[in-house]
Amino acid sequence: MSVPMLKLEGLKKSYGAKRALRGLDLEVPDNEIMALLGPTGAGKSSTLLSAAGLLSLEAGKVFLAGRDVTDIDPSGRDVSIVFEGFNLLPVLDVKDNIAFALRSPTYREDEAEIKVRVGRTAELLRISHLLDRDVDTLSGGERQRVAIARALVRRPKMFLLDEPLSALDLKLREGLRAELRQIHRQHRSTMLYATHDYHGAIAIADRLAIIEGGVVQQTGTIDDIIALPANMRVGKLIGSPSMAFFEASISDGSVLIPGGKQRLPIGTFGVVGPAAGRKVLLGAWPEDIEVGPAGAAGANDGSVYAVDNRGFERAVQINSTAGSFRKVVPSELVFKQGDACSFRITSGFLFDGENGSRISHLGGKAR
Amino acid sequence: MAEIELKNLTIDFAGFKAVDNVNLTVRNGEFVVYLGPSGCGKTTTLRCIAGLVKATSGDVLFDGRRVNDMSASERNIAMVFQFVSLYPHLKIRENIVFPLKARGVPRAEIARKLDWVVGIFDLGADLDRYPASLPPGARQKVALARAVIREPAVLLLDEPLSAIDEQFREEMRWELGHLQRELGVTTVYVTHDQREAMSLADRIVLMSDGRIVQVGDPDRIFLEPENVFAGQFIGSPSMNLIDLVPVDGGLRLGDSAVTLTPAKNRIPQWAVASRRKLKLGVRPLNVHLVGPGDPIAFPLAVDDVFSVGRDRFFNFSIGGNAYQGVDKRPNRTAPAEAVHFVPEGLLFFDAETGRRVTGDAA
Amino acid sequence: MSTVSHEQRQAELKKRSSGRLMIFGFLSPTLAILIFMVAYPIFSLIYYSFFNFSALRPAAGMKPVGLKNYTFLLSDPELWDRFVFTGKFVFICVAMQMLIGIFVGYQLQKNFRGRDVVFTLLMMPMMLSPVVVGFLWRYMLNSEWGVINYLLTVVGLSKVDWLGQTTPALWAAAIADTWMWAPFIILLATAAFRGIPETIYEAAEVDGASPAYKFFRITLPMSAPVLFIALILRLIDSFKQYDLFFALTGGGPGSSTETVSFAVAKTAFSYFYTGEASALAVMLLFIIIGLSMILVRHLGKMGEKY
Repeated sequence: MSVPMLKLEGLKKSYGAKRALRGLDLEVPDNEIMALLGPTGAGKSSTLLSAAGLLSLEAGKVFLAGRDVTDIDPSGRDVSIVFEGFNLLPVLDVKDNIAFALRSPTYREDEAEIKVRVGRTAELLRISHLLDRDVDTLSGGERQRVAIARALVRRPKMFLLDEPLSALDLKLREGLRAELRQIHRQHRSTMLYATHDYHGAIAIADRLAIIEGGVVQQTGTIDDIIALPANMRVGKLIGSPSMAFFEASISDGSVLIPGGKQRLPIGTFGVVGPAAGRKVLLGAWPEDIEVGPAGAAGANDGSVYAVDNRGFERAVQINSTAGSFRKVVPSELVFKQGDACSFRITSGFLFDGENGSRISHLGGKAR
Repeated sequence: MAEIELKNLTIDFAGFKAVDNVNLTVRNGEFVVYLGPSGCGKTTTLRCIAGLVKATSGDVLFDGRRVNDMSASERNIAMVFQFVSLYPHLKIRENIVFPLKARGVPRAEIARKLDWVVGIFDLGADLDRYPASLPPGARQKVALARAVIREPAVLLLDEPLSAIDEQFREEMRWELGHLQRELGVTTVYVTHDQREAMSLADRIVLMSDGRIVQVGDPDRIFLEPENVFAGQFIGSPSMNLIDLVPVDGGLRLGDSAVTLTPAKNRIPQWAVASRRKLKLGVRPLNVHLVGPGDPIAFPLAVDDVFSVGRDRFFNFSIGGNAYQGVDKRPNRTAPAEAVHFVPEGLLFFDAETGRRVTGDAA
Repeated sequence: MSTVSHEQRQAELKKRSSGRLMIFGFLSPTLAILIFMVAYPIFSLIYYSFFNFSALRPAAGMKPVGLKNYTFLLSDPELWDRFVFTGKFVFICVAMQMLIGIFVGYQLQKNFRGRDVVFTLLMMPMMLSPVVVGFLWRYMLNSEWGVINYLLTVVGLSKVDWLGQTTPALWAAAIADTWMWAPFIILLATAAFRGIPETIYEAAEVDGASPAYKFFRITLPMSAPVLFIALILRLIDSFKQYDLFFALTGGGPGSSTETVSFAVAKTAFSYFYTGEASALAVMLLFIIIGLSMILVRHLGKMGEKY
């Protein structure tokens, strides 16, 4: 593989007592969109700011296209950043906002070229009709488009996008996401897209980096991650609904859940790390759990805690003595709150209940 | 517990009819969601049920008793507001018990009920904090606890989740749905978010311009929308609306070369025979991707296909217009050069009035 | 490797110290003015308070007397009378101002026609000089031809010698001060009341709160921070009241309506006992600093809570 466009090594940063980055490593390959997926406070913004050079780090190194830029000013890094919310200059109109970077000392272009580029970028983001407006007369969606246009008008080495769409409503967000992909396809640009939205992340990205607690927990395509999640934190952040966890114990060569009638042969889990005397959890993707009528043979008992109707399908939360899970079920299956039901886990992973790490080498299968 | 009845309810704000002759009965214990775009009168209706806005004409009845002239404090209701309505100078504990203290409930009972709601909402750790130190989601949880603690006859919720960030919102939605059914309290909920409405409601009341467009359970509204507005407001991505041109023995899609016929595409005979100008409504998830050789294929240009999990999102065009499709069948590698409309998912609307047309009416 | 990081740290430090220099640069004009206008007078005041010295006779020199000025003052029953009178005055006028301010402010918080005009009129007494207010009320309270006594006779009451007796004079001064400053409380209270979001009241209404319950459990506590600041400001201001009495009663009858500030002014500029006056001024200063500290601490706390 070629040199990664962005490489972060052992980044550390604290804000007072709060440790935002705790030795974060990340590589973003050239010409890819990578989503940095994590909950609020996971360190997403700090990671992006570090890459842009807007954060003074306590430790760690930043490489852009193989070059160490740790001590280079933001203006010398040739990256573009779009913040959550809007970073537009209220004193300038839309076209001057977009052209701002092209008139800066570092990236200066001649006015004819600026005009062409601003026009083309505006067209791409469908804001050509807004170019002469003042920024404060724009709606939220229009402002965000202008903010993105301002970043895109340059051809930087890389785009850093910090929840650029989170302030927008659903429909606008879907539209802009498609446009970002379009731009990516046309210009072969590298993007690091920070978001807390799982759907948004998998819709836009080639590859995901799951971040939590100031550390990247796992990187890979969504298929890679689903095939082998690194730890429980990843399981909780991936999927819709996310991974279900059940208390589990290992005995007689099988994995059991309390109150459950099911046995998963330990052999199918590959090599299993030390589990004796520790709390073990069985994690299963909702897609690997079959839900059926109450009392089905060989299945575990559960009850419907709540039902979430989605029009073309339904999600249910099912509680059992071993744990609860949520799952999308076809709308033909009618469930009401309080109904008894049964469920069967067809495959899952074993996790250490204390530190969350995966202790089974593979996903185990039911017979 | 109570049954709410709105009779010819009209609310006039200086000549502007915010609510225009609304009739509705909310059954005892039912979860009704008022859904509509902003300014459609849904919040005004809710505030009128609460007693915070006076009806210009018409009646509000609780269990058959007219309450128009009762103040909010006399109606035995509880309400959760969209934005901050916690008392910022009171600790969480004091906020939650406020409605009991305001009514002079004995101390021992207050303590007992506080324990009860704190258990439900898992608020134990926050009781001695001030509202400003909690994130918006947790604040709304407190507001909900404050509403529930009095065990009101009616629970009114005005966009309670809209100011909360997305992660927490889904969590709250699950809990709210569970709690309402658990308590069995008559609930009226206002939102502009169709997903919330679909998820929570026993019945949805869809409103537009102060009038009720359609009332029905979520599935019915989704599958049988009354008109174009209902069809497009509910569902995401929203329903495609395609012009139909009557031709010999069939209906042509806009100015494309595709003609739907009863024999080939299982469109109803009456739609072809109808003299009315019709439009075709088809939800993106009823548009499937197929290969060009497929006998059921419509040769419409497909572009911008991208996968999200097992779903494939794409655009297809008729004339110059782009429409959306989502193929949710688990076959990501299937060919994607043409589309097919699922016959059961086709809806016909009168081009003039926008009302849905069915066989019996035509 | 380690040298590089050392150099980096040096550069970082340099950057930071140059930043500090810049901050100091920006602050220096303000600091200079503060030192010249505030710090210097205060220190010279404290300095003079330890000397027997008269500004009228600088030739007589300055005799250091240690704490004698203070012990003399504290053992002087006359001075204690000044403090008691000042305390009474402060209590009466601040209480009246707060009650009237909160009551009227609560009535005026709703929007009504002519609201702006009412508020402009309310502002007017505040814009006058206290001396003008003093003379104004002195004329109105004149026992022979004042409008107040005229009104009393109209309703059949007997005339009152307002400014010739201690207690009526105290009340007269408190009323004049209230006339001038109650509007200040009204303005602040109205602003504080209007700052409470409507939804809070709606929530309380739905929660079953009566109007009185709403006022005492919501309106007052939620505007308490602002009202408290107004209270402290009025305490400080009325504690150092001098000019109103100067114009209204001239300190009489006798010296029975002299406030502490009045006594400072008299000692300093009528008797020219500069050292003794300085000592008294220092005592007054510490009382006011004490009140101000409550204010400052409260402001800090308010920032934390809300």
